[in-house]
Amino acid sequence: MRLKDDSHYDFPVTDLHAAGDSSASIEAEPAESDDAKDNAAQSDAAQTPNSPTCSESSTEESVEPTDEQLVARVRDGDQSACEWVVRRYAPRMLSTARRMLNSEADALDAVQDAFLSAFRTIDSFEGRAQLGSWLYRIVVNAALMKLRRRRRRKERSIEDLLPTYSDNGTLSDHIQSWRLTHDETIETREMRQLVRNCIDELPELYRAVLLLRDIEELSTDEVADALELTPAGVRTRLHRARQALKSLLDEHMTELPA
Amino acid sequence: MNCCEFVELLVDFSEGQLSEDSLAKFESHRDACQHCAGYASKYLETIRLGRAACHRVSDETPSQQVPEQLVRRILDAHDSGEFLA
Repeated sequence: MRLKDDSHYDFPVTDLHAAGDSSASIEAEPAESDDAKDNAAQSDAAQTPNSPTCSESSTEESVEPTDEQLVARVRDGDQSACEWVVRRYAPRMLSTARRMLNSEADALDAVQDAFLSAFRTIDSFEGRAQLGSWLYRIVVNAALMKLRRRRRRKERSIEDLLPTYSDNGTLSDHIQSWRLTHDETIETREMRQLVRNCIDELPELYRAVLLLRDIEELSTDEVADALELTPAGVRTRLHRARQALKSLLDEHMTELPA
Repeated sequence: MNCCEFVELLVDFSEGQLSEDSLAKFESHRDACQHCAGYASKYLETIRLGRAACHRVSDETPSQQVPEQLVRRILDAHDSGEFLA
């Protein structure tokens, strides 16, 4: 495990290694600023009707506790503080897991795994990072572990999906355009699912790089740390993953010749 | 520049990391090669489609909120000490 900068990261190293998949660990910050995401998460929580202030367990709590207070209370074994943390951060964590996993059941499992891991290792959270950022990294890790353990059924060979060239380096790719525009594709639920299914067909490491770099929008260095690759290795795999995804989309979206 | 060299520059191009000289060669080849112009267009659209399709997944979930069952599952597991296993 390589920590880039201890002043920014409070990642619970041991729990992820104990989970049996050290190479899936991630220490990267999300592309969006900590403050923006934490504020958004707290705003979401404020609108949540099932906030613990309304629940049986904490009816006496009229003011929302701060993250710092919650961390201290979780450490003391306060179950209602755990509930506050779950309700405050689960929406954002579930969104992340859904984006990465293309499976509602797996996304729910990943979020559960992430919270249990976080509660187990709360003592390793030193407060130098935002609680939301720390939890974000944990759920990304949990999602990566899910991806690794998922039984692969229809993974395609990367080599079959890369472009081919003639002896003089000329591209042999066909030039038919896609039959749908971006907006037409993205506005149709069926087509959005098709795109996600194509991502699912990428070989595991290529899929992970593409998800972290293009979907979660982590930096190249952050993805390299997460997957224990060199930055150059990330760029190579990202390029191939995009090329392969393009080829998969070609199979579904290319206009038939007139 | 041939097509193979052009395609290998796409990842740098997509991130705005081509030098001025490389960008000029890249654009010159793209303007002259219909295959590469089409390939580059689809490559960039692939990035946008993947991002949009994954980010819209929450729109398709019956409930935007976190299922109460999940909250209970997490808290029950934590309360029972299952997380210590």
